Amino acid sequence: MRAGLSRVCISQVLFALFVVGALYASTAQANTTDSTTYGSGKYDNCTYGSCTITLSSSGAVGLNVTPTPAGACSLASDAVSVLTDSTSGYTLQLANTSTDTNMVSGANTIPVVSGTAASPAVMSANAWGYRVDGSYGFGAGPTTAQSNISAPIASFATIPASNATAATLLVTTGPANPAATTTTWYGLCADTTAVNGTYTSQVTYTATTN
Amino acid sequence: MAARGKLAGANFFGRLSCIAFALALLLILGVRPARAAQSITISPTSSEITINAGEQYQGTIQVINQADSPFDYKAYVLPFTVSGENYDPSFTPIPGAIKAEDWVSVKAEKTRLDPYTSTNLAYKVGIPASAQPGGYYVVVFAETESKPLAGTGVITKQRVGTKLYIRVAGDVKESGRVLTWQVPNLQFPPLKQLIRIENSGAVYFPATIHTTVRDVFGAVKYDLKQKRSVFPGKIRKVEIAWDKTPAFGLFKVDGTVEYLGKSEPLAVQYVLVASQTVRNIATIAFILILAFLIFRRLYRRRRRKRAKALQAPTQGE
Repeated sequence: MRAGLSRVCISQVLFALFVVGALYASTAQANTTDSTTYGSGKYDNCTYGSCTITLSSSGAVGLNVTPTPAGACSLASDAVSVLTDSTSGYTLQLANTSTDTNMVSGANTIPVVSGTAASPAVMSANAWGYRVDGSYGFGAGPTTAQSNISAPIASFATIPASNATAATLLVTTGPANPAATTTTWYGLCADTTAVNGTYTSQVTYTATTN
Repeated sequence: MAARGKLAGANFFGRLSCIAFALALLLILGVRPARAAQSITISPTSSEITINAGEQYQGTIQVINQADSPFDYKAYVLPFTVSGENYDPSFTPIPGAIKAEDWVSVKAEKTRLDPYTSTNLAYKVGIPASAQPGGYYVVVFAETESKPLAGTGVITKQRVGTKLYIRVAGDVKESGRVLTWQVPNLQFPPLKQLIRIENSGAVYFPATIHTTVRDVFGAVKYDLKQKRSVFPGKIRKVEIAWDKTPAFGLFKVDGTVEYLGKSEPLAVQYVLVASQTVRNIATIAFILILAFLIFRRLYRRRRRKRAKALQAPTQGE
């Protein structure tokens, strides 16, 4: 009899949980009221053939390093923003502008690191690469802008050549309005075996809707 | 004296309006977000073109500069392919494939864009008479020219693209199906839905996915309609996440997928969403209820025993 009563009590508790769940769900703020009004002004009714996409970034990232015998590294970031109302989201990619992925200063070069986004590498002297905190295998970070810190530094990935498949920085599944920013960090390490000079490389960010 | 008072009043109001103006200026300028050095916009982001072999099509794309500084840009066409079910885009030529990018030419009105101005990019698609019916996919890119960098570092360029889904008219096999519609019944927020669509035909098709999340009383909480292209011989995985899912709730999810002239319903799924915090609270509440029930049972048993013990000597008498 009492065991029966306990069962009734448990079933009452479960029923109460169900009712609370249903009521709580009904009080949740609607994201969307219909197919053309995508919630509280955040979403838009941009359709397949009428969407726009905006890509913004700084245009240049300075990475001056004063080489030491053991190797010194500098880190700096670029805030890459994408704005789109496309309900299918967007893909942001990164690749070198040329087939030569080295940082170049006249005839002298500093090669790009060999790691990938899935398996980034520790960056030792005379290498450069990129990382995105919290993305793929890069780790959470947070990375901060630094100059002339001791090598090696973790974890960085290669920047693919222009004729290879670009590295994917971010894939989203919904609209990005206001713009979503992906902070892309670049690192450069050099020791005194590197010939002094101004080393540069050019990369391209690509943003397309999904 | 009165004049002095008037003057003092005028000064007071003058200062007040000056402060108000300064505050307004601060609000307008100070709160304004820092603008990126380069910002390029393209519109539209995709276009579907159906055309006969041997014919031409002309279209226009808009390129906009939404930053404070001018930039030079160039426009060009690349092939568009995808890999994997996630549809990772690739713009590198495939050896041996038909070079559809050679069929498209672009001409920019101007290649320098001043801040907050736009320009039209005219493109022409010329299909050779020998082209086979089917789908051909290219992207028209608008890419900023690089800015000079003083010192060592990385020069960055931005490019945005308009995908052209070109269909050369003719008899082509069209076929597809919805492979998967998956909504786990118990989820952590955000509420997620997964749809996989297969194209077993020879030409791409657009699929319009429309899914709705309702509470158990039928009120719409999240509604998303999106159009995704599915390439021939490929499966496309589409994941939908309701980013504003509450920490706890019971929801009903359904929808439709429209493709190749048909509308396929997605069966109703019930989902209980509970965040980790809610689950922890529920676990603690369950343990407390269980402990209470056990305690009550033990207490009653003890009271019964005591009552029996008290009754025993009475019965003996």
